[in-house]
Amino acid sequence: MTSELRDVTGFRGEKIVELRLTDYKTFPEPLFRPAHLGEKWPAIDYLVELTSIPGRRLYFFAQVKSTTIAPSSRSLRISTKKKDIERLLQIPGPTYLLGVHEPSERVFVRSVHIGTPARAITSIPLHYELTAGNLKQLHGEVSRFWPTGHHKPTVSRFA
Amino acid sequence: MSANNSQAQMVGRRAELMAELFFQSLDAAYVARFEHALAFDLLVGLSNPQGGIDNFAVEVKATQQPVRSGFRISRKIHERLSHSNTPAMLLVADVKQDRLYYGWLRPEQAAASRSDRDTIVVPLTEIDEGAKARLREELAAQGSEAMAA
Repeated sequence: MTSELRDVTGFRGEKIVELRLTDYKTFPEPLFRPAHLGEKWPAIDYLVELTSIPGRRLYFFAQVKSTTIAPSSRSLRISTKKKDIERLLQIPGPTYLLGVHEPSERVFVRSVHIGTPARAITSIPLHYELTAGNLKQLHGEVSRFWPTGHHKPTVSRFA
Repeated sequence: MSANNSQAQMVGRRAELMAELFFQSLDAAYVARFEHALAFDLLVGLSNPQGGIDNFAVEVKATQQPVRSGFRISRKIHERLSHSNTPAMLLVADVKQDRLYYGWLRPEQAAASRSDRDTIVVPLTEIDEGAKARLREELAAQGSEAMAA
């Protein structure tokens, strides 16, 4: 029997994101179940399902942006194009940018919702880091959105 | 998919990611995974000072419990890996606390677990910055031993 051998180096940023979203050091189980959509999917890298919501499979979409440039005292610089944000604004439901600082394996989240200007986003504030507290905030924000029936969120803690 | 399957998948996936990121942090020349698990989970290559690549196999195990000084693996897996011509490492990922532990698989470990027919305890070292530096030296030494043999 033979089996294909595949090099899994690369995509370090996405691996860090997946680990961070499933971190459950301070929870009984992970709050999220991320599914990678593959490189060919436009605008979106992950569909992220919320766990712990009986009878419902709520989710958000995320686009990952990685950098090796150290954060400043206030924010992580990321590189997006106007087209990235326009595409996220077109997608129904909550959509977020996840900025990854690869050397330190830190992840930061920023919402793209109704009211977000359709232009490139170049930074994410450091207090939007995906700490345990912010993971819980993110889970709550997404779970509160879906029952509204709206096309897309109009506000976010991570604006 | 049942909740148990989902939990097991999550635990396994976290261990995979922790292992892959760890070896990438050692500047591995490559970290390769078999599409279908055969003899081991990962094949890792690290560049050596002579310009070559030292290769070793890795068996990854996930746990959600605190890891003590050793970890039990099946005797069959231990035999297969410790008697192979490629150095083999056991990497245990505590996926709840984000901690990694490693131990080299060696034939003499079987003697210490003679009373148990089915499993062997492999001594482990927690991976911190100090252990990472020592591991780099061990890997270089493994490569030299293999060349000398």
